[in-house]
Amino acid sequence: MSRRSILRSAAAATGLLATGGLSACASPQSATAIQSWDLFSGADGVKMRGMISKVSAAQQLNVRPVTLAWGSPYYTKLAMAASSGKAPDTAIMHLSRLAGFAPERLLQPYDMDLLARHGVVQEDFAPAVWERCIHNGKLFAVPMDTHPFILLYNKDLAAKAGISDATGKLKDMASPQAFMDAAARMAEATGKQGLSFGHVLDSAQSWRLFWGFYNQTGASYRLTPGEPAELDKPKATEVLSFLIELLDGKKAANNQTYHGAIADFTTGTTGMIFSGEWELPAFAEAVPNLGAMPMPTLFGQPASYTDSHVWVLPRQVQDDAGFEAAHKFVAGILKNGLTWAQAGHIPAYAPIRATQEYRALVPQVDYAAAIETPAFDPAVWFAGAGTDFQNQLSQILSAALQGTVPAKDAVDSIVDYLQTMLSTPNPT
Amino acid sequence: MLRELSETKPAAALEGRRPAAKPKQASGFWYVAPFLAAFTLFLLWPIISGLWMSLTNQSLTGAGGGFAGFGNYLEAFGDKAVWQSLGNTAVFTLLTAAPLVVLSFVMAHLVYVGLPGQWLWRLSFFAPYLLPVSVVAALWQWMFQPGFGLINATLSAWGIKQVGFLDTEGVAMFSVVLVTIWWTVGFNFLLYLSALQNIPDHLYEAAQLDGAGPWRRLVSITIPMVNRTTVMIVMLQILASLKVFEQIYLLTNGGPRGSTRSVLEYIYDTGFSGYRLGYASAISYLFFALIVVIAVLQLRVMNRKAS
Repeated sequence: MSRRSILRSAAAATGLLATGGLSACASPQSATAIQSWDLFSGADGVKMRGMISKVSAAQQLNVRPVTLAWGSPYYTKLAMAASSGKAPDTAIMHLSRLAGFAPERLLQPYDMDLLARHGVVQEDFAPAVWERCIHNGKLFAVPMDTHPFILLYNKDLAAKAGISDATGKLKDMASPQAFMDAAARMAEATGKQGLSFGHVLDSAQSWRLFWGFYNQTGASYRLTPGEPAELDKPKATEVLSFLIELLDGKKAANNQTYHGAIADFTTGTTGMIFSGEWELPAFAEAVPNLGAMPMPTLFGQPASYTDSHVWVLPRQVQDDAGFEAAHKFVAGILKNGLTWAQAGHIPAYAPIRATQEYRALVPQVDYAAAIETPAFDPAVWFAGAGTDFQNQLSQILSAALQGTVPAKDAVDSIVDYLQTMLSTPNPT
Repeated sequence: MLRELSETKPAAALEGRRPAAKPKQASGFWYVAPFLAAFTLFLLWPIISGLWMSLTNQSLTGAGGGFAGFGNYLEAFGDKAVWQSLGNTAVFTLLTAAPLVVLSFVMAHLVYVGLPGQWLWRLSFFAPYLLPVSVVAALWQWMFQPGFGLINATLSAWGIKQVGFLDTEGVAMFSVVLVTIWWTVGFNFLLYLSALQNIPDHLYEAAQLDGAGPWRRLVSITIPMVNRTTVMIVMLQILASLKVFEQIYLLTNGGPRGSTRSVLEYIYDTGFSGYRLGYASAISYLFFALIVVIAVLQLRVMNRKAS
């Protein structure tokens, strides 16, 4: 307990004496009040609220949560709040947005000793995720989860199609051809299509799928502001051509929207779906025998498109008790990661993943390996969740997937766009 | 007392009307003061500070802010996305303005000449205008949905190939135009209806006595009599269409491949998603200048027509 919070409780106690029984309802005031912002408005939002009230009670914090809509407006609001000095004590961000969020200006680094005192140290996190949280040698984000793009499937339909093994898991599919065969057999089993993928008019989905598979090829890329964009065009074209061939209207529809794809999968029109794991609770309700795995390794190296929800400390005008309380709060949330895992997310805090309870969570545990081989967005200022970068590239890719633009031209457009962004002055 | 009056009177007369006008001015000022305060705070000041911002590298994150001179303006002239989005805005304006004027007149005239159940038509033509844009977008998104959306499912049932209303280049803009017409035609309809109702009946009676048929009455009485309203509607409509943002943002997010992105959406994307407030301000001032030019031209043409 900090000296300030002791003083505060003392003040509250004096108030209690002065006003007698009346102030019984004022007791939460004695706890340190902090404000937290998040963007979970779906099923995981309910889970988050539950975790927050649990941590608040256990740690004697008075946390006032604010939930804002996901997407680009969230980051606009957070940046404006932080630059005008009206920021919450702690907030959720996507790890992919950290590089473009002017960490030094809008965020405060964590105090590692303080975190360690609350039981959170570097060894508790996957190195690939932890490294992305460091900026100029300082820790600006604490990861709460990683949420990869994965392959979910209907085990009953997979058995009918003969593409699963005795345990119900999908048989190994180690090449684009093998995956297309599996999708074709699944299409025979459903009588309609094999695979769902919703990308039409979506500002991220095509990019997620493409970037995951591009990273599997092991092809390099270099995006340095002020320099020419380097992307392996032949590899990118190979990946995109495969996706166009996959979405041929039989193995998979090529004109499906995000919600349309979900509807097709949950009603058994298709037996597999490429989706973010955050949709898991909705799928589990509709498909009782649900299987899941990381993105299948079709191009050599395992990689799944991944982002991560992290907690950050927006810059405050003056340091106050909120700084320490925020550390306490974040540590408390991490330790409640099991609740978060039920929403489909992979807890970033390793001690949670090691628990018996997590090992028993099916199918979550079947794609937990994705945390070791994440394919994050490029670490440049204009990339990340909810950016115009994802929107523009998804529009290009989506047109290719619908067959209106050849793969090669789409890749050229992508490189053109990257080139334009790299020569744009960095506003952060 | 008398002496004083006689002394002050010539003095006042010498100074003419000015002293008498003074107290009037002061009270006048206080009457407009509330508006003036709001105007300065919410219109004048943002215009000035925006203009200043367009000359700097101001970023939403508080970074930059250095003076950039006309750098932003020069960049905007060379920015393909600016031209593309300006083109999209122009196409949208052309496609919406004419139908919204003509259609609303036709609807108002039909209601006025007495379709049975006038109140029902009046209600159903105007009702969509009362819906918030988010509701309009959600409704049409479901109807345009590929696969099982109302329109596409009906097309499939009739054996017609489905249409990617919002996701096909070249089609998406027409879908947005259709939604916009359905949504906003009610306002122009109402203006026209009230204009029609203001035409004195005796004009029609006199024309009828002279043997004018319905078509002649429409062309020689109705249309000239609503001329002023037409001028106003055309003005308002073009300005409203140029400012299109919400329905495009919600329906297509500017896609597919930027083919429906309006210039205001591009300004929003660069300023608020891309943090580049200075550059976004520069584009909006270029757009502002363009609107002023269009408005002045329009005013001239319309005035010439009216006289």
